[in-house]
Amino acid sequence: MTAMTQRPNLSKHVNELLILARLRVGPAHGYEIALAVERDSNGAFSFQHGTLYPILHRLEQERLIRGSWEGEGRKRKTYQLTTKGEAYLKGEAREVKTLFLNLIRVLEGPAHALG
Amino acid sequence: MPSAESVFRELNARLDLPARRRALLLRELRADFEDLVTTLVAEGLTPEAAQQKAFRLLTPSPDDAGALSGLHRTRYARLVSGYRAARVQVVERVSIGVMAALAVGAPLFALARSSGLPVGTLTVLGVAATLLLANLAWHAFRIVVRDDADADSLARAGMVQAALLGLTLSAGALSVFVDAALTLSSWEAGGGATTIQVAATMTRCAETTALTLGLTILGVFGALALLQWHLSARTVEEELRALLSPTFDPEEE
Repeated sequence: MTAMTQRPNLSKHVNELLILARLRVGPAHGYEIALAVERDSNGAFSFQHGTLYPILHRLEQERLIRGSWEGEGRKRKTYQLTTKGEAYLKGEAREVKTLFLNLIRVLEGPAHALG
Repeated sequence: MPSAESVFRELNARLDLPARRRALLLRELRADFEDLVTTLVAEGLTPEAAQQKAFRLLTPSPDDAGALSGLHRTRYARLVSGYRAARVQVVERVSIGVMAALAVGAPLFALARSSGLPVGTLTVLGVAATLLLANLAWHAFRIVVRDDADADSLARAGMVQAALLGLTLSAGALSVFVDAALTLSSWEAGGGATTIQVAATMTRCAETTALTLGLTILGVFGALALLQWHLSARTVEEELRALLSPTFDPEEE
């Protein structure tokens, strides 16, 4: 079984990792995460039409991130990475890196790999 | 381009969740939306372009609204999602009614055997106590387990509680009055009421009064709890209205 078949929805998984990676920098509001991911990836990754929130809230339920209400007047929700989330991000980032290196090796062909 | 108000109204309609949970979600999304527009305008985008980009990035599609609803549904809602809502509600109401009847019936039955209280008084007070407890328990269940109680139904429940409280007090007072009046009139007329019978009547009256007062405390406690729940639900509904209003102010509490 390949890593791809083990993880059928790769783009959703990458979105999770992008959120966790942004929160590694520091706490952020949802819109700051969306903006930072789009900018830091030069537009290669973007959360279209609110795909961000179901992922954010699922990560919060899984305790990989922590949400808290802050601010004067009307409250804003801020997210931060938990210790569990940091460990998860480290492990998953390594896996994704291996997956993409293997993919590139296949795409470039055996001759290239030998060369 | 649609207005933010219409987009959030549509999202509110798509979120299949109780008002309190919808308000929490919309509070986050609306504040993020307004803050992103402000940030983008400060960076040089026109308000229209900023709003368009904020819509693209942050407002959930129907599928994502469905995913959000699924994530925020209560465990109980997930548990009963496979059954028809009307049927579930009948089972819930009957279960709570039976539990309230048992909770009231058992001590009243014991009281009936150990005291000389008239069966009529016990029956009326027992029915009133069961209804008081069932009304309170049903709304507590809706708040704690189902998380879907609305301000209007809680206000109606408060009025029912007040009416039941009035009924309990009237039934208790009437029972004491009739019992005492019959015995005293018989005693005064020399019609056979002995001192022992008068003493027994006074004991019954004291027991009825104590029982009525106990039920009154339960009723008052229930009415206060319902009032508090009603005010909380109204606050949530007011917040929802503010979040969906065209004049939404992100700085206003």
